[in-house]
Amino acid sequence: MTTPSNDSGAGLLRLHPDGTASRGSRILGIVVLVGSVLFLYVALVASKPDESLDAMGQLVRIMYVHVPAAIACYLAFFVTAVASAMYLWKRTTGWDALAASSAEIGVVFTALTLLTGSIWGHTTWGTWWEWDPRLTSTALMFVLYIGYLALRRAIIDPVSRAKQSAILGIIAFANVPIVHYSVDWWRSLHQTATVASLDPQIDGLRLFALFLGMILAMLLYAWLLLHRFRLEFASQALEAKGLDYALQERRAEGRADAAEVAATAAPALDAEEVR
Amino acid sequence: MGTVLAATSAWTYVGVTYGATVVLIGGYAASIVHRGRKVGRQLPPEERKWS
Repeated sequence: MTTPSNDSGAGLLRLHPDGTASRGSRILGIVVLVGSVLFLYVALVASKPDESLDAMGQLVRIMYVHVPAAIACYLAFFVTAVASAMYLWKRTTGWDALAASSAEIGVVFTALTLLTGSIWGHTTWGTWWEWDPRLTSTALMFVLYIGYLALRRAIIDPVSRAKQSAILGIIAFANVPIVHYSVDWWRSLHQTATVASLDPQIDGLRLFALFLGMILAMLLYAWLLLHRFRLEFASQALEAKGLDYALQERRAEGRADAAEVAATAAPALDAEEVR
Repeated sequence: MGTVLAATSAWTYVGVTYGATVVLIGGYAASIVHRGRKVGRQLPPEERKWS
């Protein structure tokens, strides 16, 4: 006896028949979970506190979450910009769904970046918030993409919504390089990029924890994107079905009205002919 | 004593950071999966191309 494809597998790999999971996404989810346990062990237990000259001590462990979250939000907004451009070129709903899904995940990662950065800032600078170029441009990026998501909710027509949000998705990405290079372009409290410039100020297990965090954040982003994209795709399909249904209903009403008019007009015409 | 207090305080910040991360990402992931099941239920199985 064959097993239906949407109910295949056993244990952790068993799929919920109605959900957005597939066998591949389930395997990726398990990889992310196992990676998270390994990451927590390396970041919180195995790696030593920072004892260099400008020592951060135990606080260096915040960096293993903060930096990967920032990289994940760059990646998410890059995918949004590319998918937006592809939508404007191809005009297929899949690209629009991909752009929307990636933007929402990017907003979550940006919120995490701001939150963890604020906690880190409070311990090192003594303040939760500073109108520093990096912090201000990141806050602006957060607000821009919240605006992108709000725009999507505000427009009812799917084609107009996809087109306008694609344009915003491309324009908003212009802020991402500003966020990244703000520490080089302006005087900033925030430290300059050291890992991206291949000059990390940490080594050994601390560097490993940071890289593991980055890989994990990208895998987590991929897993979230798979599920969020399928959710968006299903929502758009339902929305299209709803529109089709409303159109069919309206056409049926139109046909019924026409038949009614014809039925009332026919006896009147017969009477005219008799006369 | 001061060093111990500083270390305890640092661990509190580290704990809050990791706790907030787990809550935020875990909560968002759970909401996506939940919404996916809710929307997926309304879609005919043949249109769920991933399953």
